[in-house]
Amino acid sequence: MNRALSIALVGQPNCGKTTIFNALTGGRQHVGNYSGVTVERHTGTCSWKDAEIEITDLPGAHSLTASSVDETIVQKTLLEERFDVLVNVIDSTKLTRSLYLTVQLLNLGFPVILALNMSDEAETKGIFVDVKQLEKLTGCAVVQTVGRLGKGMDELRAAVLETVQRPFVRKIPDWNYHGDEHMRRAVTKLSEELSREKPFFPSAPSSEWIAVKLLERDTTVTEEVLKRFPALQTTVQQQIGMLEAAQGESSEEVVSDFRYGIINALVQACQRQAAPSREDITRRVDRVITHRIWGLPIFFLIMYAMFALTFIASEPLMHLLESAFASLGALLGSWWPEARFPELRSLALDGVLGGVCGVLVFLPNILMLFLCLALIEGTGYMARAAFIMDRAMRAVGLQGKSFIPLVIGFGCSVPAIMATRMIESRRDRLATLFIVPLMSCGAKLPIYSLIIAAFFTPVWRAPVLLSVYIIGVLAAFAVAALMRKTVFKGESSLFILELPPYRMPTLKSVGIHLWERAQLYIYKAGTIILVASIIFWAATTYPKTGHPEDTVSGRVGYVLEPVMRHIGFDWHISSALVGAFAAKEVFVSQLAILAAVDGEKPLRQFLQERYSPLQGYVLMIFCLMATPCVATFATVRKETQSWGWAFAQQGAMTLLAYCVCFVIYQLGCLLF
Amino acid sequence: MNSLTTSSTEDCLEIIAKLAEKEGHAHVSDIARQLGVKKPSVTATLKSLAEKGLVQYESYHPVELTRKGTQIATKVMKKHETLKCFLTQCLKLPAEHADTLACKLEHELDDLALERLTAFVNIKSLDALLPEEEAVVVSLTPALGRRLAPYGLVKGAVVSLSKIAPMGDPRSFLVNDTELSLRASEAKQIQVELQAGE
Repeated sequence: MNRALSIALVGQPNCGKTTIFNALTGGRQHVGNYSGVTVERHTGTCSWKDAEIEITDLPGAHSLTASSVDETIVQKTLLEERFDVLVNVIDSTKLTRSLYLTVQLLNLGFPVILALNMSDEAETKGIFVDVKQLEKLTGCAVVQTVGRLGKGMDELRAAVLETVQRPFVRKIPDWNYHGDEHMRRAVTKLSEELSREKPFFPSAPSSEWIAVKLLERDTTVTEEVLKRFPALQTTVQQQIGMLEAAQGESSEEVVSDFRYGIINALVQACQRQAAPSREDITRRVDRVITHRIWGLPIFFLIMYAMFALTFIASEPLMHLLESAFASLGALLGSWWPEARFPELRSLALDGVLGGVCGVLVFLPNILMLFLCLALIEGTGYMARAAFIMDRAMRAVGLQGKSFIPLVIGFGCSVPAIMATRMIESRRDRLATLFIVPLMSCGAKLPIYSLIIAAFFTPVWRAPVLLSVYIIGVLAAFAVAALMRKTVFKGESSLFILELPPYRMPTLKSVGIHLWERAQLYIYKAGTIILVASIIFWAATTYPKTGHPEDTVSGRVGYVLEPVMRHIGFDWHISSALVGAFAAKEVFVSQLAILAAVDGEKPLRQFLQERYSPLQGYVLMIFCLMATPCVATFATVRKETQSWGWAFAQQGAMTLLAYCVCFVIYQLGCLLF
Repeated sequence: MNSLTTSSTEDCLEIIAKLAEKEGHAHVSDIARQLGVKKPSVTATLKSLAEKGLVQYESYHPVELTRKGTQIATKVMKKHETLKCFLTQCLKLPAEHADTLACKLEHELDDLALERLTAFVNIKSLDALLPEEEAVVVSLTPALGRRLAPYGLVKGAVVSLSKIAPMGDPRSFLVNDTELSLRASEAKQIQVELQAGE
């Protein structure tokens, strides 16, 4: 075969598309046990026999209607691109509702393969699917798979090759059996009209599919069709009117009844279910974890455990790395005589080694944090947290689903902002996206660790750290509440949340995720942070007059100082803060360079000698809130499609940071 | 000033609530069309409703229900649904006939009668479902229906209450094998019929 086959993975949220994608391609996309983990399509390839297969993994869609950002992407992709085969991934434990999407996919008129995923889980639940019968009735190849164990992947690849080699015969819907007379008449009438004007969409779906969508009042399809064929409007209205009059219910209901009619017939013919047991592990665990009284304390305990683990468990490894880097520096220092290329020596030792290693030391912290997040995401607790917190989040004008991006935000703002796509209401989504940077992300961890270790005795470290996180969360809620009272006025929107059964994340998927994160962090240290370190080293060294105030960073710092003085920052810190916009960790590397340039002092000692604990605390709060980093800026711009939002966020956060710090610093000066 | 009868107040509130649900807003002209009266008479009604604190109304703006207005509207709609169920299921009247009749009867139904009737037809809204109870969905609003259909929550689906969040809301329901959590405000718009047994 000379051309690569293209297939797309389509399915309802949390049915395991990405797990299958990873199993097929050896990819390393992030997976989790809740709806909406994948928000962007990604592609990969695999080969079978001598054919090359290009696989596109799409976000989850409940239905081929655009009611959320994810579903819009799926609908758009399927209407604008032509795939050789659509692989419909189905959660075998939820056959009935999964087929709701399948019926619509089949109606498109493209070849479809059904992958009955999680078939092992269905088996333990006593659900058996007659594959042969399902193949016969749907006319599609049906493959049983277990994505997380990689079972059924060869069969799936073989089915793809086999499906493209024979012509696709659509068996569903079969108008001889499915739908009642009125429905049939309306669809026939509309599709006759439509077939005169084809094609409406680049991928050319069947006109029957378009007709059903028109009857269902699908906004995207209706708009697109009427734009090209305005004359059809009266016919559409007429048919909808006739259908509604005949059935006595809305046409949306008629269409969903029609679909479930087909589905129920299929399920009855193909699925055998032993008496459903009402008692399973999920139910038993949930009785404790989502308990009406214990639910909240358990939630706070889990969050607290996450932070405790992040800091305590990673401590020994951090010390190991710290001493390793210190001896590396000492080794290099003794090997490189001071008289030889002093400029270059300073750049290498102070700039590169000091800057980059100062940041790399915190790798264990970051990994531990992401491990905790991966467990929360992978087991299915994330959706429970949203369920438990919905009522509280409503008090500040947000909703339970806002909570998921906020928790992810403790790791990194970028995936958190992308995760806001799972929130259907635009208002709620924008408000959530706006406050995500106020969650202390992993990149701010090094700053906290450094400052807390420098200024506070061990007894005080945990409470101080917790207070910084809590101030961030409280500020986020205050901003959200303010926005919902001003920019985003109005009633809160529809809240529909699915609670998946608990699952054990595989060691492999967690391992892959951590490895990805580690690579990303090291990569960041080797690129952005390295470059920023060199620039900052130069700025703090040149022009060389003997007075640090004359260097570039000194001058920048002096410009900022009159403003920053009121929150306790001198020109050193002010100039170092500028770099934090590139990436938050840069601030740590810049302080390290400052300390090194100042006289080869250990960073902690440098801080202790110059600043008070109050200044240190204010500094942490300022770093937490001010200027979300460049990556966040770019992601906000992309997700909102507006520069305005991205700039507004930068401005608002910096202003907020200044105000909060001003209050804390001035009050602190009065008290101490 | 109190020239409005209970039934015209309730009808007007009911229509505003339905329009807001269906179209997202309620304009005077739409209300007039639905009530089958002229615009000026709707304006007069609205002014009097505004004085009673039931709606927020300014000229040329869509009408909005106040909290008190919403309460009354929800109650009337519940009476309407219950009566309709009784008329269609127990008296076997055709849907349209039952609808018209329910519109007239709903204003006379007092709280006690509603309670007894609800118990008699075994219909309640989903948010009132108790643990261990099993029920079948009999009606839901179109806007909600469109969003819930892909989860399997459609007319005829069997539902039961699975858990209640701390602070009483949201609640999560089992629909087939799917566990779905909804807020009380949405669950109120779904009517279910209790199953015998258990």
